[in-house]
Amino acid sequence: MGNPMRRLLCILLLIVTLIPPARARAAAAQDVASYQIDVTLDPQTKVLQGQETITYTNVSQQSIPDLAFHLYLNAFRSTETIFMQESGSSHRGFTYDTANPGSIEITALRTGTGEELTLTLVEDGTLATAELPEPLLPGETLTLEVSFTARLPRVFARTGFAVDAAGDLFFMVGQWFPKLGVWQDGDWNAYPFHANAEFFADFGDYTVSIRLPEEYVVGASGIPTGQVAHGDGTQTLTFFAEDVIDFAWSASPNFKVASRQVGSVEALYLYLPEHESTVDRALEIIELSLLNYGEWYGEYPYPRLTVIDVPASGRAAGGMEYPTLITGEASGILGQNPNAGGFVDRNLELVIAHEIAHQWWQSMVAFNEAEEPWLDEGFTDYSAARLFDVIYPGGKAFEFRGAQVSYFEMRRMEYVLNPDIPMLGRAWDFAFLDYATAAYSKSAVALSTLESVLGDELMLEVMSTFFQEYQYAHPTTEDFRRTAESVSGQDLSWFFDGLVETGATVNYRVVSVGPNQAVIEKQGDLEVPLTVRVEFESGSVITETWAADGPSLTLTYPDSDPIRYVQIDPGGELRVDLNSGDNGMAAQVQIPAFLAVFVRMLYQIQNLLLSLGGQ
Amino acid sequence: MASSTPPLRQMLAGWLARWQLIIILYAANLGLALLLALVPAFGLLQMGRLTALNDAAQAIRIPLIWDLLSPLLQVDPQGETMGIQGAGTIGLSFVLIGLAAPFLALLMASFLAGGVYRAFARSSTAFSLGGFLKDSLAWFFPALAVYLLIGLAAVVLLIPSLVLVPVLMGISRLLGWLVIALVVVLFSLVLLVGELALAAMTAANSRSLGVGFSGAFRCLFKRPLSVLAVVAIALAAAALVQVIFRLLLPLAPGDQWLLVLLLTQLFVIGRVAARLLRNAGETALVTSA
Repeated sequence: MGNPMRRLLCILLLIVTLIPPARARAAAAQDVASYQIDVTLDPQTKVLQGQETITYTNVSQQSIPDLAFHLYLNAFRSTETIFMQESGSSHRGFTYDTANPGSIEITALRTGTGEELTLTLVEDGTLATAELPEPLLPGETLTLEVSFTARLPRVFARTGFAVDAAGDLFFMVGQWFPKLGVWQDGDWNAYPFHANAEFFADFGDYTVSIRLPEEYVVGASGIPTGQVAHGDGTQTLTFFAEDVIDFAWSASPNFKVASRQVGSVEALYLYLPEHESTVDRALEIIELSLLNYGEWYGEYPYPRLTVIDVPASGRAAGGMEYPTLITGEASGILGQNPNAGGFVDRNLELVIAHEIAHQWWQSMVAFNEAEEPWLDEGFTDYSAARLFDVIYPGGKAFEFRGAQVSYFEMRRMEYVLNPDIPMLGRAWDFAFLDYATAAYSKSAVALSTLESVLGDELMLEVMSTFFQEYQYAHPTTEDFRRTAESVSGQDLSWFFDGLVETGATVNYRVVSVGPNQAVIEKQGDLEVPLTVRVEFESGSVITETWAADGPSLTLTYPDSDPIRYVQIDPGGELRVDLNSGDNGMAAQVQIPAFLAVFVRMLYQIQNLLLSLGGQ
Repeated sequence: MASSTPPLRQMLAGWLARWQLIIILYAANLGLALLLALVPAFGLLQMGRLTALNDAAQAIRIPLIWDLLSPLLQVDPQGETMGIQGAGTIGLSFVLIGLAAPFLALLMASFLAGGVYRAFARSSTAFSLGGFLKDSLAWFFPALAVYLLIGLAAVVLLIPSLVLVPVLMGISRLLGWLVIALVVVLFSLVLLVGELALAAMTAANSRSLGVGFSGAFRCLFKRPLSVLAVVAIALAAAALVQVIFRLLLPLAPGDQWLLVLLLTQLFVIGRVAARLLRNAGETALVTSA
């Protein structure tokens, strides 16, 4: 190779090195189901007219004889659907408006080669199947042309329309198009839409063109790739989302846009004018979420994240996750003021931090939310609570007149009231409160206990390894177990067999403390390893560990000073322990502590009597 | 009984002359509170060796209280009790205190009212504890009737607002807050009329509610500015006590029980003194009207 060639090669290498990649991507998904959708929204009728082209590749080893479509909006067709029967026509405190139902109908379905397919609705019409003229062989790709008409309900279960504070229409358009199920193990993994259940879908690319009146501002999954004004008062906006499992969008004539660049990610906050005061807080928590989750698990690989603000009348659309788009919740218990009347209310931050965590644990690691809801909600809630501990140290997430509660503590308080629920189970097998405990509270508490047993660093290694292994895939509980046990090198039966699969509980307590002996007891079947701190009168300290494999542990120190006190779980991190109040015992009654508490108790009673007596 | 002394001066003079009332009312409050605190104190003593008590002494943490009390709400799957000895006693006694306190406070306020207002009405004479108790007993039932009326008004105002305010807040927060303000003003007015009636009755040495309420309304309509001035001073005194206490309390670490005891008791005395200033003002208003 002569000098000119070498120089040219060097220049080429330099160019390649210096030019940044268009997008920093950790890995690329295997595109299974890609959608190209042209949709028109008529705000007056709240009807969507859509035409979609689905490109589906059979990545399994079996032939696929038929297709299964989710038609989620049909869950809101009447009060007789499975969703409505299970939920009592109420979803998380919001009531279904029978005067404004939702629905979806496939008006035409044919293959790319023009063959008509016959659709059969299953059960309540939220699922439909269609026989293929010929089975789709492994590795083959099928193109489908689908025409559909969808009607949006008044906002219910995170989708629909609402009227904002200015009297204008707001649309949150989620679960709105005919969507294929997931072909797994020789069958379609697709269920009718159940009340507690969320979603499960394959990865693919989405190109979505939305035609609607020009005055509407639109936030959508992915990035904008085109805008055309038609000259008749309407416009078409096109968005492209790569390697995602879903596509959602929102529209309002009153959206204002705030943005912040977080590394290579453009974070957008589309807010309504009445919520202008929340902009700084929203952008701050968006940035902190992206940075921390990215550092813990793996970088957010998409170029944009859009956060949608919802109007007060459309709060049923708030707090929901879609790939690269989430909905927030600007109004907390106290409205928009996070600090009023002795409260510090961080509902806005909580919702955004939680939904952004779903980008990792649902959007990228695409769990089956219907069959194993604890995975996506539990991982997400654990991540958000962990983030809150970083942002608001010392348990100062929520405050009321000086009393403070951290996110984890809040979840634990829910858990201890209903602890004997297995985390593992299909969403609709749980009553709603049990579902909330299993999927959110207990799962977050259990994962934080796992962290306390493994230690921070090892836990993060488990989680980040799991994320890297299953990014753009559909892992299960068993996959998580394999990764966790392999990375930690530990048998984690107590976690998976005890907490995940059964309702086993535990309460550790110090039963007695004598001069040279202390007895610790375990109540319940769960065996979580723990540490015990023993402090002696001389001030010396011994830290013991116990695998909790028996009903009790007797600690004896015949040659030592008298014991001053014994404390189980001195760091207070063993959150599955049902009662932390009995975790420590001193050798003697603590008179000053008794008096300190009694004095405050007396004062509270005096104050109560004064107030009730008109003073 | 009419006085030529301006009400504000009479209010202050009466309040200063009857300093003994501060001690009596404080002692009554402390005595009743101690009685109510006995049972939970026993529960607390049973927990005396738990290190959680040390944490509670530093600061009351909601999760700790939750842990102590939540076993009472659980049906334990293992059939074992996960509760802590003493915690149940405390939890149950707090529930009982919560239920009994309104009645006990009503009875105490009704008993003391006659003695207090009579003492202010006769502030030029020497104070005697026997006379105070005799007057308290004599006006117990009329005072009880007045306080029951005030309580009834509170219920009538409060219950509809509990339903109405959340609905209004959903429509407009401003509207919701306006209704809350209206309820507070209305209740304050009812309380003022009731207390003026008690002052008028005792000043006229009568046990007739008619005499009391006619005196109260006469006072309100004849000297509205004086009434406003007395209310403003009483409110300012109560607010001052609150502000001083809120500034001082954080200076006392939770485990410094002696310092906390001193501060909290001074605050209670301050509240009692502020209330007596209001009562002295009400007596001055009805006697000068």
